[in-house]
Amino acid sequence: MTDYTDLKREVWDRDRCSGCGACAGSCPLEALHFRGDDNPLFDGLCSKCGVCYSVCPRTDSETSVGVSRAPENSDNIGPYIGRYFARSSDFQIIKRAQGFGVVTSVLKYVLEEGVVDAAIVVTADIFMNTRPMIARNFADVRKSAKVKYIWAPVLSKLREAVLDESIDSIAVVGVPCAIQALEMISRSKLKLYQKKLKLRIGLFCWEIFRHILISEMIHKELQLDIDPRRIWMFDIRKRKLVVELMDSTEYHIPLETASRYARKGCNYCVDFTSEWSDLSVGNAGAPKDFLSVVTRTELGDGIIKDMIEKGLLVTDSFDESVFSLAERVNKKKKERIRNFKSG
Amino acid sequence: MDLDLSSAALENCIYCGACFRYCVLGAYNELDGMELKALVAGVTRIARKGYRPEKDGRIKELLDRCTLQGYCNKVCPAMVNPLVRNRVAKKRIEEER
Repeated sequence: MTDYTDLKREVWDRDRCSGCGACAGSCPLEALHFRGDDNPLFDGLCSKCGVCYSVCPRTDSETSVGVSRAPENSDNIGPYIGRYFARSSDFQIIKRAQGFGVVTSVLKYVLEEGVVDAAIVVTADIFMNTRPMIARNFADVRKSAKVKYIWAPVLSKLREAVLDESIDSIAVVGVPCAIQALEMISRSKLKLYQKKLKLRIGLFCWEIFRHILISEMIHKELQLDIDPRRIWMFDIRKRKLVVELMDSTEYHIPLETASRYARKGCNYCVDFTSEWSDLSVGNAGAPKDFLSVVTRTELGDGIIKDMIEKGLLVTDSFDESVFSLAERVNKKKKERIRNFKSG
Repeated sequence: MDLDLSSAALENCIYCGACFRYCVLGAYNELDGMELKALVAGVTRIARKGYRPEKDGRIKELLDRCTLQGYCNKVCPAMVNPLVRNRVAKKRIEEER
């Protein structure tokens, strides 16, 4: 019989928690919560049902090891059906979104075509405080369009979405740890979650930053006092974290420096390209003005192909030599498996 | 009234206690996590194997609070049908009487 104390001992206390939010979003008694940038807190009742433990991709259980450490053994970027260089064809979307609007366009498509009823995404307020939200239409999706690199426990919203009777099918946009947790859920006893979770959209991710990045790092490393309300977005280019302000001013912080403000749990992630997703997207390995898109299931590939056919996505001819950057970064991240072995 | 226990999908139950915890009447608010778990296990056992007056008194007392509103079905993450389970358990208790 496992419960949250096992999770605490194996994951939280060893700084392995990725903050994906799956434990909080699946606890049937809603006893786990995220506050601030830290590990989940227990506040409520526990019936030792073991759900929180069973969905976590960072425990020592056999399933968890198989899901979170398996990418170590996969070739290059993991299994895939198709690889594309793509961007949105809608200039209005590109203008407001990150990553050339690919994810925003995909979400618009799946919601409007009825592939899913809702999507769980991350949004931010004007102070760049991020939080997960349930998007039911394109207007909701637009609120999440430029949020990237700042952590939020995206899956903590799962329970609300799953128990909503007006929602039959759900898409989730998440970084690899969240996608791994969805794979854990698919192998758990949470039948209702399995029935409703339909589409996993993964993001390429090296690591994700805590909100302290804004409040402390910018002040300390850049010696600047930037009002968070002036930040337009974060981006990563050429091993630099780019802070772009509303007035187009850019500040560049070396990734090595920024890494100090990443979640510690990221050190235990060996998946760069969200290998358990239906489709995954990222900047790495893409030519200028495009994004790399990797489809891994029939569902994911069908969506991208249909969007290309309908002119919703514009593609560039795929070039293996350009894409190889994503594979190199991926390979580098897999070296983190040593952290599991040593810690 | 559906009394086919197979439709309750009891094999899916994870004994989390959400079905009683989120009772729309708030009838089980004073129970802690392990008491909720024991209640689910007790009601499930009665539904499957019958009521034992000498051992299941406390479970019966708690189950008597259930008015079969069915909100429990909406909060079960494992797609069990607690409403059918509770109905069958109540019938087993009646039969024993």
